[in-house]
Amino acid sequence: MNDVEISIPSDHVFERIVRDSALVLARHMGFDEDRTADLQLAVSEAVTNAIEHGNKGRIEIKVGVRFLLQNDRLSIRVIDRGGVLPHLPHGAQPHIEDKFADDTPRGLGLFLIEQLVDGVEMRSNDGCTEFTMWFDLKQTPAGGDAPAGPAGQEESL
Amino acid sequence: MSILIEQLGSLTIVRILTDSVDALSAKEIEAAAGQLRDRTALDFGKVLFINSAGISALLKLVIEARKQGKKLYALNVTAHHRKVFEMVDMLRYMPLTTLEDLQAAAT
Repeated sequence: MNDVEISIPSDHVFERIVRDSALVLARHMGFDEDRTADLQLAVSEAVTNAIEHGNKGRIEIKVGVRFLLQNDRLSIRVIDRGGVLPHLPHGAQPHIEDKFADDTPRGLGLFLIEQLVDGVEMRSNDGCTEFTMWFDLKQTPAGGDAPAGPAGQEESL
Repeated sequence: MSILIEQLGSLTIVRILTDSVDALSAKEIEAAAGQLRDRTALDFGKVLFINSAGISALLKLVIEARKQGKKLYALNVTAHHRKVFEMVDMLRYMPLTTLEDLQAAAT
């Protein structure tokens, strides 16, 4: 088995389930503490974005999350029914002073994702948005006891 | 209850009791804006996770402190949370310190 799929209603309480799953997965794969926290945060941000901006908080619409281990990469795909591609800041540092005039200072999530992961890809198709991010395992220090699989093959989660 | 407010002389300590500073706990953390004193320190000692919704709640405290001309500090921040705060330039407005340093500065 090389992938795990989770489907949650569009409510923030269920985002915690996905985040906890990411923690279990990272520990199983032997991520070190810092990279585990990176994975948890990036997953949290992508799922939060899907809940709020994709599915507009409509609890009856599901957010799909798929963790896929392939070759030397852990991919996380987050799917919502918004059909709108998020606008990536492409590394532009947020100006925190700009937030001071804002009653609801948000908009940091995609910036954080870009800082934490090794790559991002988006596509919109048939009313769905797929947001995929990945961690290159060769750049991810092991901190635990997970077995290292051979390069170029699918590995087991 | 996500926060506990303590007064140590002229210093206010806002102890964050939840392990997740996120969309679910944001409202209670934002409520600390009504408790700001001249010097207020947020204690992150029990916090295991912070995301951008949580950072947004913290930003509201930063904004309120600036409006009121008060100083805000962060205590017991993990290495990863420090990394994230640095990414969004938060520490410029909520510097890291220790309780000992704050108490020493008050004497």
